[in-house]
Amino acid sequence: MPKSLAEVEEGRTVRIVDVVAGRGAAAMLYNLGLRPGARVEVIRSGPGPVVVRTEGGTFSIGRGLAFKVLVEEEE
Amino acid sequence: MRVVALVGPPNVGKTTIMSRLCRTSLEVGNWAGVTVERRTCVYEFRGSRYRVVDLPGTYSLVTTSEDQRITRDVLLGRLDEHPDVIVVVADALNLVRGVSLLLEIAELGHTHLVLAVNMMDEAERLGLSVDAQTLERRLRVPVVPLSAKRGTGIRRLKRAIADVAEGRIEPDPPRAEYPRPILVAVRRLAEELERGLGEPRERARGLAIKLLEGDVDLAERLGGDLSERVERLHRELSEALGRDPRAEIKRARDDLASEIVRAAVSGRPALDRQARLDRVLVHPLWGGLLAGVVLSGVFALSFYLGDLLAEPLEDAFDALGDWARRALPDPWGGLLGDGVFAGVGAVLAMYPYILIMTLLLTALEDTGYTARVAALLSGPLSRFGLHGKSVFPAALSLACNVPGVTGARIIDDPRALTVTVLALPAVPCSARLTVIAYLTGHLPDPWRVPAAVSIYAIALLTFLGTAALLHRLLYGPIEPHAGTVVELPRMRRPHPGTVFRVTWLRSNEFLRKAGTVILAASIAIWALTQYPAPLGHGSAVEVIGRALEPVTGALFGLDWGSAVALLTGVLAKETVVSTIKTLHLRLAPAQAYVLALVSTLYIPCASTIGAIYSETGSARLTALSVALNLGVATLVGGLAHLALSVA
Repeated sequence: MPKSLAEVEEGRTVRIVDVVAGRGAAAMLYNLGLRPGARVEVIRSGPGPVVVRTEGGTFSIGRGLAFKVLVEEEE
Repeated sequence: MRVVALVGPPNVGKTTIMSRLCRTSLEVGNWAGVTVERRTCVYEFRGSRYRVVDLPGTYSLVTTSEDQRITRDVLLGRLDEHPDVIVVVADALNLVRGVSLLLEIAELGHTHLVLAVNMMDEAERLGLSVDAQTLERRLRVPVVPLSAKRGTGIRRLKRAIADVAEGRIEPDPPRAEYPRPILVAVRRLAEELERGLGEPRERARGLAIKLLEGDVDLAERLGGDLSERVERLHRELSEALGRDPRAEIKRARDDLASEIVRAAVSGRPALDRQARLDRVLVHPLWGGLLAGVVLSGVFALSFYLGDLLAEPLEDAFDALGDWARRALPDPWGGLLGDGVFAGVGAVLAMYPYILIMTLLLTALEDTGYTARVAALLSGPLSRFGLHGKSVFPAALSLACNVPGVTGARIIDDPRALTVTVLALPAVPCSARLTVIAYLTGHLPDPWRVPAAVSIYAIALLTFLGTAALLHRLLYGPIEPHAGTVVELPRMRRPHPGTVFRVTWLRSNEFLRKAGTVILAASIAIWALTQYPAPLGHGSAVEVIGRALEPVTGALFGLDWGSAVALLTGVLAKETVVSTIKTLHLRLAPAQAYVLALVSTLYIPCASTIGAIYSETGSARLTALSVALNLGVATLVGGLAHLALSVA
């Protein structure tokens, strides 16, 4: 069951399944390597922005946008 | 002379590599037609001369901003710059991104490539080792590990560049494998481009990939009905794949890149400390409190140190003015003393504040802290069409709008960048602080501070309001969350060389303006106060002021003297104060408050208008910014006058 990036616990690694955001926001995410198929480690969650680490670097994603990034837990 | 292009994501140290390659001969200019910085330099190796061009930092060749467009256009051969060798600079700790970019560039038909892996020292310290030979074998491109900060590996880089330039090494990078439907679409589109636009085969394929990856700007620029054609192919592909083809293309490249990198890199970097830091720095409460403390500290320090430096500077200009008035015959004494030294001196006295604040904020940016503050504020700011990083130019604008406007370049979202630049003049600079402090001094005692604070609050609301309005006017409704992705570079100690260089670049614009625009305007205004008769006896400004009095009187309850003060304030806001003093104006408390409010908001000063024009390159946008300011100031000033005269 995919859930949103905003709901992932700190320290877990997940895979992005889909980005259901507007064109501008999606393009921004894709350009930074945050696109379907990418593995991301959630560094910080809770109130405020979500911080994730990918193979390409560390990024902060606004909570509202994080809700629109659907992910799958790695087994 | 051979041309070497440096390409890479932002923050990988390209500029430092450049200074290591050449040592001297660095030239800074602009790319033709746009105000994106263009740095070049020249060095000699094995008897040949090489010209190095630093291309704007970019994450990918599908562009989202003006500066990235330049990098893409150079690599597509669409600009008058054809590199013989392309050096892709990667960060050893984020190697996949660099390798992925290299594969993307190779796809456009470039094989004359070198991969420079920077920050090797830092990677080793964090427990990561990069096997350059394995990387080289898999990529079939020369790989040079180096540390630009320490200057190691630079000679090897020069050798690799020469080897590729002289054809001693012929790189042959691998290609990503795309799903069949994408390959078919690429081939079809490439054939059409070859036939229709006469693009050479290899480049046509690269162009086709970029178009399918969703480069809307490129489709529009290539013209014809290409945009629709690509749109159609896109829909077909989405159906055939069941997924977004743009993401699929990137995924194929990233997968190949990470497979190659995984074979060459061992060890996991110990980034726990970074993660722990980020948990605090990006925390809405703790991070927010810390940001408040840090930013207040920056302001306090700038004003404290700025005062120390500004006072002797002001005294020096006063002394020069006195000397000129005494020693020179009229009108030269007056021209130099009251026009040049008084006008330029008042503006130059701002420079210490600007310099120190720019230095402190640039140092904070270099540590990576600014990105954390931007991340915290990106949520609220994106609702107004701004970006998290808009906070940096806004903070700088509190000292002076000119470096604020120039410093806005760090915003990597083009729309948010334009909106920020145009809305910034609403942020009260230190010159306006002088005006606010002087004028609220006319108020009875318990009201001074609240009045000053209220002006700052109104100005801040105006900044946010005009930003939102500008976004709607220029780009339509604000897309929620678009500006909330912020890259967080690793926190590190600031690098003094970089900090000083960037501080100088950001603040010298102000000095240049003081010597040109402000000098000319000071002389003009002085002349207007002296001819046809001296001030107080029918000078030109009085005539203009009296002509404006019906308007300012009806709107704000201000007489001709204040109108003159507002007029001269266009040159530099602190002139409002000196005009009030020279004209010996008497202001009632309500008048003083309204005048302070209106002078804060009504128009960007001459230097800021110049800066906005040179940043946006558009007279239309500059005029829009001025018009919005005038409109808002009229509205707010009028309302305040109304409220105060009722009360």
